[in-house]
Amino acid sequence: MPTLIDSYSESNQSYVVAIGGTTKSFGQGFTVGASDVILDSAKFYLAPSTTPTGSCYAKVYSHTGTWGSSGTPDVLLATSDAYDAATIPTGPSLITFTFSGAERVTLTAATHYFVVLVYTSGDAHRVNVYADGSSPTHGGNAAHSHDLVSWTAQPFDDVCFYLYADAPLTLVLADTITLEDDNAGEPVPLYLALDDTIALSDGLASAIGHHLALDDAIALSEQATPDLQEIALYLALADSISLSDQWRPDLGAGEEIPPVFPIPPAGERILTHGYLTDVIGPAEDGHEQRVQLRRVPVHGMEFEWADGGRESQLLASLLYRQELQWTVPFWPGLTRATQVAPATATKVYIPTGFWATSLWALWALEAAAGALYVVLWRDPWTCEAQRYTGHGSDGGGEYVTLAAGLAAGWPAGTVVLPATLGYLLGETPRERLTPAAKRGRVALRSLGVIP
Amino acid sequence: MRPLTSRTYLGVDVLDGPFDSAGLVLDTPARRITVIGPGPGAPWVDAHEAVPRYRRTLRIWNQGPDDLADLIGWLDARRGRALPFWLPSWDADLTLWEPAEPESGIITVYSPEDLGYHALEFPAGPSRRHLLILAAGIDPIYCRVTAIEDHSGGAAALALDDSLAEGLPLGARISFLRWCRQDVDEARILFHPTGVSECDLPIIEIPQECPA
Repeated sequence: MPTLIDSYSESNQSYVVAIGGTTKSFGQGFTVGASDVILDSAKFYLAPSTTPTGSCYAKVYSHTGTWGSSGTPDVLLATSDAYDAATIPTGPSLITFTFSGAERVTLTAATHYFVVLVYTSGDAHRVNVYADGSSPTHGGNAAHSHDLVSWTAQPFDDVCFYLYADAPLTLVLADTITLEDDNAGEPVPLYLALDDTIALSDGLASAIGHHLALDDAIALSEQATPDLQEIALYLALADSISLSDQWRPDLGAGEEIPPVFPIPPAGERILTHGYLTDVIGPAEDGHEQRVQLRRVPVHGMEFEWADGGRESQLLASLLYRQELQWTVPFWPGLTRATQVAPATATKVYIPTGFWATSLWALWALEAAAGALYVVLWRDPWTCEAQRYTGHGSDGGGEYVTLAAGLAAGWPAGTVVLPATLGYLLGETPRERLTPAAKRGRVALRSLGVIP
Repeated sequence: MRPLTSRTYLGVDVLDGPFDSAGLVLDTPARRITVIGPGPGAPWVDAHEAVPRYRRTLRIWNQGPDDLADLIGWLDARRGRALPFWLPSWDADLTLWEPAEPESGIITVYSPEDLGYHALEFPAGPSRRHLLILAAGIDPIYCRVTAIEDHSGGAAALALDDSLAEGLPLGARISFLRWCRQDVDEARILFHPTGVSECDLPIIEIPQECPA
């Protein structure tokens, strides 16, 4: 969406200059703000003078001379699309001149430029350009030319104009993807990790060949099927980009987190870290074909549980409900809250240095995808999960941050676990030792993420 | 910290971290051979693989987070069963016939007439031509047998792809480097209450893919 860069309102107009005859061009100095921008369009307040025909243009020049007094156009930078002068309404109107394609040049931050109207059809066909010669207040000054070569500054006049530009194409999300300039003729394969950053600059366009020409259409879309991760990126400076490929398990409206699988291990704890490969063969001579089916690992948790009573009842109840999805805590990543975590808090403090030395890095992909959860666990009947959004440290120590405030308060020393959404794998055999005492084994797998 | 892989050979990781003592004892060669027994008449025996594929399971111990991160990194680099690596057999697969001279590109090993390395393993393809040579006081030598220079009198002279920087004593251990992949996609890491964890890595050789 173009934004206004500089202007001088038509409400200030006090006289007109008819251009097209002796005077071929008339325009105004302007300034770009604090950021580089991409030229989009200009408006002048115009009216027909003597039956204009043919085309008129807006042109942007670099600025030379003293800003506001002797400023004049210098080097031509961009020319707008032609505007049919015959269609200028009789009453004075703001006429838009659009810059397209390679004319959408980058205007440097905090730099003066000139935008001028050019009309060269001859004395019989002229256009009135409205300006202010009574008490001009714009910081720049007007200038005119009879030949588009030599320019005369008008230090006591300002032309009514509007200049619009696009913000640079910068999408900030976490990592930096460098698009090399040797991709001419080819789309840029772009692996969008969750929360990645894509920064596009106008220098890129000319570097990457025709796929990135300035007036090309942008097509940046998520692959239709979630098992494809490679996205071909065609882009142009003019268009906006929206990234919508971030994928994590869909929790639906309100982000209801599935119930925590609350049963703790009571013996063997196995963490699984797995890929998926299709191995075809071996053939008669021993050769085989292997196809990697899963790009990122999926984790799982398998453990034994044992109980003398209520815990096995709880597990039976949970299994009877047969949730399709669980929030699966990974017990090898256990740590403890170092401070009280009050209800509604969005930070849970953990031991200083824990993050760098813990297993939690295993779930970096899930964390980046917004698919990592923090479980606070006191016992199988008292636990809570919230979505992890990041970690950091402050004067209180190291902490993890949560997407939503805690539903309950938790004392210091509460077990804190990483968790992902997952499902129960296969059966959950249990051994009946007595009518009350049982032991068994459960296997859970994460749903994983698609980077 | 124990890196599972400390070097590459021919551009591919060598799983040289878990020395032979870290392995489980089984090291099983298997070759699919189908026996068709029609009842009456002689059975028909048909080999479905040109050479045996060795299976071995290494037990990797992780003393702490660094070891575990190293293991996970190694697993991720393998992409489950997809990507191969080199695994030394750590066995004395060949025995020197005589000490090898420094700067020499040839080693002479025992290789009985018609039954030895030169007759059975070398001709079978590249899978038994990559060697790891260990000897006291010298750095491990990774090399490839390029040719049999001579085989007579119970010995074979093997030409190596590079000359030896140092001589080899008779006690040098010459192991084959096997071209392998993981035999499972999913690694299972068992955590002990002490914080130590262990992971059994089933590994299978894929000799027919071995680089020449």
